[in-house]
Amino acid sequence: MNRRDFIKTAGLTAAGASLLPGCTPVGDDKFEQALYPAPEGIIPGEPIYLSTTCMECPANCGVSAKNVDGRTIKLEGIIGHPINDGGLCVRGQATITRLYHPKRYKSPMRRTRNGDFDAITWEEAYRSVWSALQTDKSGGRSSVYLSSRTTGSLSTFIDRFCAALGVSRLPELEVFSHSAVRQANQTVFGHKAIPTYKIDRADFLLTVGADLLETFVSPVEHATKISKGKDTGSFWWTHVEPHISIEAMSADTRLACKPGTEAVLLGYLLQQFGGSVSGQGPIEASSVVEQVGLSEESLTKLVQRMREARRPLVIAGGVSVQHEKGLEVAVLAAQLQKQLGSAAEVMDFNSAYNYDNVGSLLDAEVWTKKLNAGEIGVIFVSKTDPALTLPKPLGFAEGFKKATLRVGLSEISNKTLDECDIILPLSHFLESWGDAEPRKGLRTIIQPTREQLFNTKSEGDILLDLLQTAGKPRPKNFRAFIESEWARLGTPLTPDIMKAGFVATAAAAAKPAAGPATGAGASPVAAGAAASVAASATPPHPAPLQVSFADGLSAQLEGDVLVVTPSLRFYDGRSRLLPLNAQGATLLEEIPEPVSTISYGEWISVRGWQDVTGEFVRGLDQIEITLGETRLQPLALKLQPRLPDSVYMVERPFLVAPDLGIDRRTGEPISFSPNLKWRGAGIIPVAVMSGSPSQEGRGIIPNAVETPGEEAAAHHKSQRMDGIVASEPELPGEHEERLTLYPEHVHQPYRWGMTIDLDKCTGCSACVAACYVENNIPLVGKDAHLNGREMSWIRIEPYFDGEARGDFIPMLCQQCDSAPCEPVCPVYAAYHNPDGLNGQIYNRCVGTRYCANNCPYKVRRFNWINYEWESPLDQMINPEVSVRGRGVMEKCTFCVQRIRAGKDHAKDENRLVRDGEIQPACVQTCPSDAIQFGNMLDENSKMMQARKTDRAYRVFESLGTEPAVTYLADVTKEDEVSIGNA
Amino acid sequence: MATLEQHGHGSILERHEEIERAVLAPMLKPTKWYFFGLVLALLAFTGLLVTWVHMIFSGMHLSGKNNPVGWALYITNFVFWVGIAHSGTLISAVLYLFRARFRSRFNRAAEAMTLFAVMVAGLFPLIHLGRVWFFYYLMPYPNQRQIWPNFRSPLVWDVFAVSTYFTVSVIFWYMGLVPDLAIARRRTTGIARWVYRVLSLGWSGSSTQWRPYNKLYGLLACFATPLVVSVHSVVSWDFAMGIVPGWHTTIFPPYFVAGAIFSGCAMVLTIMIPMRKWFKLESLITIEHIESLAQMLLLTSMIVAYSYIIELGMAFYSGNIFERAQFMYRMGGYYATLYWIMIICNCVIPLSIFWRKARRNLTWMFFLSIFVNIGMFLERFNIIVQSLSHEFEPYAWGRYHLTYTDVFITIGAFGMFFMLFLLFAKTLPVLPIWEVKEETH
Repeated sequence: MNRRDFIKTAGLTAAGASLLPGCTPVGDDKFEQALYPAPEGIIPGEPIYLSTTCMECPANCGVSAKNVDGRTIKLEGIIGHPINDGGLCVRGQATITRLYHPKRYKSPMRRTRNGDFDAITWEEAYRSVWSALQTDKSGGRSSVYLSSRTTGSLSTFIDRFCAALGVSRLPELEVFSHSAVRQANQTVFGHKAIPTYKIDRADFLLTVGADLLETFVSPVEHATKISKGKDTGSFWWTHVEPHISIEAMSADTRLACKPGTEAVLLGYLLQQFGGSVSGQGPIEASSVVEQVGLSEESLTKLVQRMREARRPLVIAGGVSVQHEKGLEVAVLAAQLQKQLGSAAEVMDFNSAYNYDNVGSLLDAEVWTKKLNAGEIGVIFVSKTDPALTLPKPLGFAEGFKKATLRVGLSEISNKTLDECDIILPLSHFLESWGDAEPRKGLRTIIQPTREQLFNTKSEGDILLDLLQTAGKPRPKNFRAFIESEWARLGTPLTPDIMKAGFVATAAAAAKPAAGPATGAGASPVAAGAAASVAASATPPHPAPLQVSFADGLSAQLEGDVLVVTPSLRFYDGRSRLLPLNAQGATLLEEIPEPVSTISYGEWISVRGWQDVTGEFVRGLDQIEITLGETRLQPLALKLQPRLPDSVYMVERPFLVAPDLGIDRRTGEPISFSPNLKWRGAGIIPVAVMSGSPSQEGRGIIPNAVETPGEEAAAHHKSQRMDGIVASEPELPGEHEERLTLYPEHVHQPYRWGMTIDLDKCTGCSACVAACYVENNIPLVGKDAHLNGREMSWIRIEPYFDGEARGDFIPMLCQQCDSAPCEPVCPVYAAYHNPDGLNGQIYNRCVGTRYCANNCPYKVRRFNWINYEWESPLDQMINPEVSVRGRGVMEKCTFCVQRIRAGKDHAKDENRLVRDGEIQPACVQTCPSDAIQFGNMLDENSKMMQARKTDRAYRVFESLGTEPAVTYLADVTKEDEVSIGNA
Repeated sequence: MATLEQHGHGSILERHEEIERAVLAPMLKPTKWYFFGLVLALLAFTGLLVTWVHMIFSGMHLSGKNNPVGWALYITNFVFWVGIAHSGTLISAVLYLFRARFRSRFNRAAEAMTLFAVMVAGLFPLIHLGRVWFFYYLMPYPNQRQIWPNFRSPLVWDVFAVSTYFTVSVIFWYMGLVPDLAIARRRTTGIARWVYRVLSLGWSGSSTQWRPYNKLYGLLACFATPLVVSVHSVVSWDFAMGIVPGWHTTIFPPYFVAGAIFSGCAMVLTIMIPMRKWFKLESLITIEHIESLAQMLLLTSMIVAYSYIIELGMAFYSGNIFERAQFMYRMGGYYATLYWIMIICNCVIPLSIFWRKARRNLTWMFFLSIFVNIGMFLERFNIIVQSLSHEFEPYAWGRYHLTYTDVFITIGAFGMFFMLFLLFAKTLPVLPIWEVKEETH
């Protein structure tokens, strides 16, 4: 034994001797973990990516789940996916907190007499359900199966299950059923469906109420396509709606109409383009101006833009089709589209969205009546929350109590599940097998991305087990069923498909009863894929509705009007989870709603400028709204700039069983209520994150009138000091010589930078959610937000000024070259790294907070306390990012862990990092592709190329901080709120 | 000898005896009021310790700071107490060199005040640290990682400035004490006598001792004088070196030094006026002495007022929108009341000193000094908190809200200061006997 071996052996022995007795239960875990061989195919520390499908909302985006050491820690959009092409929305990013939610159902449960739930075994659960089903049969009651929108093999299997056990399947429950749009399309185009909108092929987009970027059918897809449309250089988006939303803030032209008058505008436009509105005479521009509340000028501009457009696209939806003239709006929009002649180019009914099984509220009315009549025995409620979403007059809550056995299937409790007798806990989609068919011609795979966390099962497996309990034949397991289904449909599940995550099949030609042929631009055909889609399973449509416009085009909405809007963060309420830690936080509530900037709390918006004195507000006035007889719960009153007068805006998830009525023709929920009355009800704490709605002329978002390029140049000139020879700076990123005692930074070969296009940024906040998940940012809860202690590293700031408009700017660490934070740190915790990043060394930081004080962008965040990651939330911690402890400053690092990985990878291959190889989490997830990241020393990088425009500017250029982030100003925006505009 | 005749006393020795008695009297028999005050101060100080320890174990969320306002009451306290500490050196060193006679009535107390104020001030940078257990990262100490503090950071300058000031102040104070300690030694018995004997370093009062002593004292005075300017200049750089609107201005060093002297003199008055009465030192500290101090107060008050005007002038003349918005906010924003209270306390009320009757009215002067203390505390609060809450980024504007922890720690700082001062008053001569004696020659 030589000296080295001896020391090694001695060291190992000593280490072992000291480790083993010292193991605490916690230490045991870690020690054992290190001893276990890693599961097959997993290299410890090396991430693997698994393709699956996001089921957080019906859009079904393709996601690539990052798994490190057997734990799924982050979701990213699949690049090249026909729906989301790399992007993922705020809800998709946050769904991982549903997976690791500490309050998830951990085993089957039965309700006890006193209303609590007791854990039971699966066997017991199945037997209870089966015996109740048998009792139903003998007792003459029917058993029903209610679910949210379900597609693909699961839908087929539910049908099979229902048939085998004599359960009737109810129409799927989605509040955003888009039934008005589907009916209008049936009337006008002969397809009772929602087509794929080829926004990227359009050169003019007119949206009427459709919340394209929030909940309307496929938000990420729309954002992606709008961005692609903008890339063509000839794209104009005009958005009409009665309230304010991120669409209103993002569209090139935003026109605010009086509530319920959209049809007047559309009728006028239809006539302008040679169409006729049956039962209506010619509509004069002046009457449009008067009724809709637009200025004549913007009306003329709108018509002119539409005339000049070669492929205009008109989409109506959202709240605009949810009032008494909603169907008229939808039909006129469709007729206008048809009249414009571009329908075939911009709408694709062959790849229509799979909403065939989705019922409307009229369907819900039918079965809730049955419930109330006591005709229903066993009711299965799967992944839906009718107690929250169905209007109160349907009497779901009362009827539900009359069912003999209420079986709830969900990952986590909600209002309906709380009333169930048997809870069958579902696995999250990230831990189960499945597939989806979001639209015709596209099937996507759902595969487990990690082990089961709890004693849960996928919906398919539960039904399969129930079949077995009933003694019926069944496939081996749900995975086997999926495999057989895919094989039957001609696309066996090969590793290639599993890797891609989706198969685009040739869509069967839709049956066009009327309207132009939709042959052009069919979906790409996967190799060897046979055409077979669920079109054949489409239930027979009722005859198309005949719409007459003789009754007038404008809904009677007088006085103060309440508008119930869809929610960007919570969808219809399903994404609003229970609090997940001691701070009572959830990820989606941690991220402020971008227009109001409210994170925690329930509010109602009303036109106004500043709350109190224009800084973040601890308490807002609270009001109680009365609609007819019903009184809503007290809501905070948020003053919202750019909201039309007399419009009160509230998000749907804040209202439990909102009682505003149902459109008898379409089954859409009514989202407007006239003659609203309100009275004050004290003060309620609501976390408003914005300190000021106005940028107070500070040029954070440059005024459209001034060219930012000139502005920046002027700054440079004014800054020049006498006696210093300086070269004219050409681009942001360079600076003139300055007096300094210290040598200038030398960056070689990388200096990371970012270019953010404000024209493309929609404020959707996906980047914020991605940042939270990627960087282990603690969720601090409402109290911390009220005290101004939010931890977000990137935030979306809305500003409502400039040329009378609102706009968003994402604000994150600008990684300044001459950073004010660096010299003031007494201990070098804030330092300049060779790549030009403002590094923050957590274990060096003593917490003087001087850096944060001195940061003009206010992007540094201090850890006020130690935040606990309650099990199993600790499993979503990204192992490549330190979890910061109390007393330490933190901030955006441009995802330095990704930069590190990218550089290491490049070094292994003995080359420099390629452009686009490294993407910080915010860049990666951005559905609009608004953020570019790259090397500033590489003139040819996409990021540097993007800056070569006179739209480029840097925030607070005059401070001389030399930020690495360049913004591209949005110079085209128009905004009209002429209704009571001040 | 003229003095003696005026007072009508028999001999120099008698007069000296009287001075010694008068000065040392408070050291002999504490009253119950003294104990009451001491216990109160001790309680307040304990409150500071308890809340601080709680905050160390729980987190900085207990103080009312947040994202835009990263510094608040602790740094306000720090600057305030460093300011208080200024009068000591000023009165002892600068006035000594200028041979301003009235200084001898105040300098011992003022120097003690300096020490205690620096001790209190020195606590606050520690209290406000997020991870106080790593405070030594700010010190330049040799370590195997060869990491040094960042000498570009004003916070590191602070460490040096404050510790230098403390060291020099201790030495200066102690040097002044030595002859008096010898007197105390003569007049006490038992353990106290032994302690005074050790502390008086064998002082016998012979002329061979006095000659080098006077030289050394003068030298130390010269050495301490620049510190009067340097310490608060450095403290002001904590702000002036930052780019925060309302901080980033070259006027800060003189403005802060004047403010420090202003608040220091006020604190001397706050302490000396009651002390004079309770310790029956009327014969030694006369109205004229107080008057001289009041005139100092008036001068510095006017410098401070001038600085306020300059600040506003710069903000509005420069055309810098951030500065302008900052000062509009100070005058009309959420904390505007505090700004105007500060103006009244620091600039308006002290103008009454012009009026002879007022400056000779001790009750009025006492209350005036309290107003100035309040005003100067608010000045620091306004500079720190208001500037931070209304910076460049309007989205990030936010407010600081007072918490119990902040209040307890601030009260505790006063408690600590008065506790130390009360202990000092009972154990050491509150006036420099030897200097007072000298003046009677």
